[in-house]
Amino acid sequence: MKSNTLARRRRRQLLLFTSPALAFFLLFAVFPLLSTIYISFYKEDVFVGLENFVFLFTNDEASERLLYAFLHNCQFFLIAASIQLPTALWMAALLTSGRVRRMTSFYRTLLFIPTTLSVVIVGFIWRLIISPLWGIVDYPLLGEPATALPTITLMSVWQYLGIPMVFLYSALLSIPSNIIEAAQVDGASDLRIFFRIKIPLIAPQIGIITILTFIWTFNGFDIIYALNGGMPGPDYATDVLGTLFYRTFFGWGADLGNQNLGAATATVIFFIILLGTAAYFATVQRRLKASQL
Amino acid sequence: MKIRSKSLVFAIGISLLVPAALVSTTAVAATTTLTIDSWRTDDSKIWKEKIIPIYEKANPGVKVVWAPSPSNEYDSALSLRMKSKTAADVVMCRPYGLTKALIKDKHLTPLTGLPGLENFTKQSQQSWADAKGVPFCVPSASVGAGFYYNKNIFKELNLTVPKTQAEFIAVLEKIKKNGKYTPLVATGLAADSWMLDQMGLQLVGPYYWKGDAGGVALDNGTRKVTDPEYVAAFEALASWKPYLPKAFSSVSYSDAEQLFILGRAAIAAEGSWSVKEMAPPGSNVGVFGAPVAKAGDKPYVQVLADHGFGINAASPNQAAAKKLLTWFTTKEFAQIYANNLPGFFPLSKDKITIDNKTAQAWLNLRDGAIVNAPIGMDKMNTGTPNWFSVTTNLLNVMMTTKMTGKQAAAELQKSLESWYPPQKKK
Amino acid sequence: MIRKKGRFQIKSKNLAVHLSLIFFAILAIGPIFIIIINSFKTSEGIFTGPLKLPNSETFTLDGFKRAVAQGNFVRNYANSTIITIGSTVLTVICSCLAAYGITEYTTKLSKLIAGLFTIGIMLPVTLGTIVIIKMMVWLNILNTHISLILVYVGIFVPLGVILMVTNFRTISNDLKEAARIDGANEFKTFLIVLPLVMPGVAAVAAITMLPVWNDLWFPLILTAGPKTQTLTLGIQQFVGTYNNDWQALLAGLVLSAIPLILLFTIFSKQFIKGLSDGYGK
Repeated sequence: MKSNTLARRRRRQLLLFTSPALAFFLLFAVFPLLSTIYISFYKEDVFVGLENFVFLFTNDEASERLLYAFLHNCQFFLIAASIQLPTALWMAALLTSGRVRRMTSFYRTLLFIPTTLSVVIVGFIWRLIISPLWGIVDYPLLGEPATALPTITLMSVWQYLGIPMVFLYSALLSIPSNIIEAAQVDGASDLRIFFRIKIPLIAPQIGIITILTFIWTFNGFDIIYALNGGMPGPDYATDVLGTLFYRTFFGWGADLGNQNLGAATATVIFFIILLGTAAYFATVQRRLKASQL
Repeated sequence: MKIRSKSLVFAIGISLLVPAALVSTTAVAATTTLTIDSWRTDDSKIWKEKIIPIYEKANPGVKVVWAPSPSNEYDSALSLRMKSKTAADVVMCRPYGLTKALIKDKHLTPLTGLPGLENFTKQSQQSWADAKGVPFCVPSASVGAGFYYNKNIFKELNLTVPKTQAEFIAVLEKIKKNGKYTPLVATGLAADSWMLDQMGLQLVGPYYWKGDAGGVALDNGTRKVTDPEYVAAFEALASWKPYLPKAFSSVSYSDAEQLFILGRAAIAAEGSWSVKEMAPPGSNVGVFGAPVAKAGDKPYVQVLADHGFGINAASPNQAAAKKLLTWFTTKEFAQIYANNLPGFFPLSKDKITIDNKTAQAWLNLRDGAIVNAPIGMDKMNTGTPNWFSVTTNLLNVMMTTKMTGKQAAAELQKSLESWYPPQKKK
Repeated sequence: MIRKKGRFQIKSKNLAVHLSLIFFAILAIGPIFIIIINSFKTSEGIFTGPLKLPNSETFTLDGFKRAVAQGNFVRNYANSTIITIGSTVLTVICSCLAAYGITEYTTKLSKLIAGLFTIGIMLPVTLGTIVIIKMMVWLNILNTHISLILVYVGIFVPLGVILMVTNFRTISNDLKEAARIDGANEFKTFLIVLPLVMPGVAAVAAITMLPVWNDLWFPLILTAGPKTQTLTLGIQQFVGTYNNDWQALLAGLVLSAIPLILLFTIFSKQFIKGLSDGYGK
């Protein structure tokens, strides 16, 4: 009886404390989103079931765009993750090496500054610098299908490198110093300590950053939109799921946009992210945690 | 328990009130406020300092607010605002596409009987009218496409303004041989590929497909894009390829302009709307129209409807908005507009004098020429994939790779056959 | 002898670390420096030599003058500040409360709520735009700062909660028990432990502030009116239909970036500490 009231009290406290956050989240994020996904089953006010989804996957033009956007997203994610993670880790390792002492916060601040910029500035900066006409590169990086997407990915990596850097930096900082000292006493070299002790210890953080990068790259399109608008050329070589959704939903050029198809596209994107994240947690992250225990 | 929850509620209440207290309170004005939405962010200064003060002075009790949105987001923002009934009282209308969709969904007020509309021809009202011809926007400005050329470079290299396609290529060849200047600038970056349509294919094409008749023939399905007259148009544009700037596929619209403005390029495929930037006071810049296919052909010139003004059907200020639109039909407005926005030409029948010489040169291109509209922009734009998206993308690929005009035309025909009923294979 | 050699080795290693960090710092700051120098140039100066410093011929403050004079700059600055501070403060408060609740009263329900917020990080809220406008119209708060604040809190509270949960987990139970024994109620206990997670608050504030300040989409849709326009949207005025006002655009972008850069420089220590407390342990 007593434990029952206690449980009820705890539950009431839980709801009291979480209700403001839940209210904002449910009202201004979940509700609008669900009611929009709902319209993906409609066609101009008529319920059509899965017709919009069938169209997306079977229409020649639409399915080709969807497939390529998905593949471009994968490419974007793979390039971003494979460059961003090692570089951020390297930076974080340098900052925590204890060799720069008082200068640490100076470097750390400088390295984080690009992250505070808006994509509009980032787009301008890099377009000017790599322009064959005005800048330092003699090759139309943004104009050739083979280089356009990797180039844009690198711009994005440059901008957001600060986030994995500080995450990994703080992860490295929180490694108990006695573990490191013990290894040093045993005569282990810095490099050995880094690869054999530090990296395994921060593996879960590396995992979380990878999955956040996955979510952000599959949801995001802002840098591509800032550079290329709704025409993610050349010949759709920089079209990702985000730009595809934007174009389908809001329209571009002579295309007026189709809310129902747009909502269906977004639903597909959401499920791709959900599946990717779930698969990740079910396999990699679980194993990481197990090895830690 | 009670106290606890109270303090929590109190804390949440405070946190909600802090920003609420910061919300600016809008003073309730006794006057009618009319808001105008537009994509012409460029013109803010002229509207705020020149146009609006004149109207407000003549109409006490009316306050006009110019509230433009960025051009790239205007269409999506406007249709969302119309759907949620939050759009401005008066909105700038794009020709065709978006406006026709707004008309269909009854978001615009029909302007039948608006005093002053008789100042405009039926044809100039067409871009903003429904299928029955009911007008929904006051036509305000048209623009033209063609070429700017640097007179100093032409003099230095002893060149004359080309009239035929052959002369045009000869001039480009001479500039290229000289090696000092880029012969011709256009836009190769995919994001700006609309330019290759409007100031490329649609500029040189009419000589081959014979103006508006060529557009009608495609609309009706009596001719195909793979027929010789259309392929020739694609080939004429493709003939520019050897004379374009280096690293062309990354040249954006503003890059192209800067090359010309800085005097590094001799000729620019452009539009009348850029008069202020391309031919600033003190520059020595001339204008010529599209070269004709062969000597003796009558020139064609595009009159591109650029923008008009319509009334949001959900606006509570219908009468005041109509009064403002009536003023937009007058000669007074047309005159102010033409002189402050050189290169944008009033569509009314009034005789307007234009102070800017380069703008006047653009207008002179229309003398004795056959006026025509771009093809494909109406019926063939209503399906997926639409004419405009496919064409601009194909032109971009054609101009930046080895794709020939014939191949581009074939691709476009294939795309049309996939959905456009009159072009579907029987 | 040996000691000397050791010292030399340490010094040369230190130098190598410094050099690598300087290399990264130049990579991070160099491009920004280029934008800054170009904002002080004539548009001819920008395009004839974008990598050159302004000289007597190309130096001009026209861009800054136009950016400030034309774009309602001061008002837009104020609007952006109000919206950013409002969203950040609310997000932080809600995240702290919720995270405290989730870590303090662990039940099946609390796990469910935590899971809900985890999914929340993945939601593409832009998709809900049309419903959001309709809600704001219904609440009659379109073109007010509060409409934007509500949306931003909805979008950023999930990540805030998740970050704060990891922070609250690091607090030992002893302190809370001591407070309770002293007769503090639950809310007071929360207030007592709050100072211990202040670094986490800094991290959540930072992660909320960045996208809010730089967002273009929701300001365009919800507060495009001239009185409530944000700085980021206002600068888009210099991106023309066909032609951009390059000088004013660059100057405006530079001016708009200053506040966040300053904030991060000043609070970077707290921000880092918040992350390390959260993700480290």
